Amino acid sequence: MQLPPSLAADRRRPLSLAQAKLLNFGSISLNPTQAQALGLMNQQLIALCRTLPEPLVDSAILTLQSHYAGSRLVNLLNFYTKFYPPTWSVIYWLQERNPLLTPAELESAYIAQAMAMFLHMLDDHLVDGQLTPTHLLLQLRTKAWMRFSQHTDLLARMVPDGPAIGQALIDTYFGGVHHPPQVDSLEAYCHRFRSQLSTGLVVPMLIATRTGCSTAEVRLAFESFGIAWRLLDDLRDCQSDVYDGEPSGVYYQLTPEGRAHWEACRGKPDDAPEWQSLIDYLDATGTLTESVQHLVRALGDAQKAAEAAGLVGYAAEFRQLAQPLLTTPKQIIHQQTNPTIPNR
Amino acid sequence: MKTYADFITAITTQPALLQELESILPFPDQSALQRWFIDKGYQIGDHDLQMLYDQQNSLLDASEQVNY
Repeated sequence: MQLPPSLAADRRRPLSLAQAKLLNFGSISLNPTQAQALGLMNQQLIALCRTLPEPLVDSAILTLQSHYAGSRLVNLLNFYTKFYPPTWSVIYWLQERNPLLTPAELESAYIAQAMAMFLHMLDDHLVDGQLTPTHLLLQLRTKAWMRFSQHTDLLARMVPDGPAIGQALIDTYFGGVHHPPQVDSLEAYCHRFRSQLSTGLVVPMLIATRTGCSTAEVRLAFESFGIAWRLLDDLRDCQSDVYDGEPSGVYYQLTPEGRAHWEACRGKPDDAPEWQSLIDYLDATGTLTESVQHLVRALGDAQKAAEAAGLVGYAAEFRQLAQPLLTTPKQIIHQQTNPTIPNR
Repeated sequence: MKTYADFITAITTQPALLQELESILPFPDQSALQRWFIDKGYQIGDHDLQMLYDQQNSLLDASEQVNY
């Protein structure tokens, strides 16, 4: 994916923190078969809750409704619609390229992927304290992992070395979350994140193997997309990450001087002079625009890998995601805002 | 009696149930919320009822523009 010269050289009009918060990928239209698959996935949270002991079922639904759906029924019922489609549409494109999976296997694939995506969020929130561990959440996590395992085991049985493929990815995931190696560069940060999304790769790798698709290219496409997604999140959350003193992809792009500015803002009110120093530094160095360039390149890598794997439709999704970001910062932001720091 | 899980499943196929809820929200207190669900055939435990009551102002809000 070629970066337009306007973006590559646009340091005179740097992206502001407030503008970065509004960045997003382009939207992807789903065909009826994909919409049906998404519908199946959207049923999985309630189905998961129904596997819990009876006293926990309603409480689990209300907890998920509160924590993950902003108490909105529509969000609860469309939970997986909130994920960017490449997190799960890889299943559709692999089957479309070589339709070897039976309807039951395909259903297992979507259920397992839904559980992998949910577990990724739930594990994070249980560990970082956003969710307080309770007997309910521990049992919900246990059941989600059991459903993930049951359905991936079914897919693994259809593939030579299937169980080993799945286990290797699970090992990689836990290697990435349990005492992960120290990170001190953007490259190391992205490498660590690749390992942390490995449970989301179990199903795609098993189906790629089953359907004779290049596992290396499918993995590269999925991981590159994941990195672009991580960097987009880091841009959108930049203000709060600075306030929380949380080092993100943006932080690891900075020089020691820039990192010192970042760290100086931790816990400081929005009118503190440290914030202005950081904003001036980010503007002068064009760091946020550079971050957009990194994520667009990652989407380009995903697109090329998907094309190399013969997944033309999957590659097209990455082009669609990148579309709003292939413009100048001024054009990226349709909604003009004042560059203020949020009150805490 | 049916459960809250049954209610969530029912609203995906019965828009009238959701419309009726919309017409009556917000409930003035927890007892009114409980009566409405019992009238519809749903039994919700006290703790769950409290959670639902606390969330009632957002239940029918439109989808947010958020991505995970």
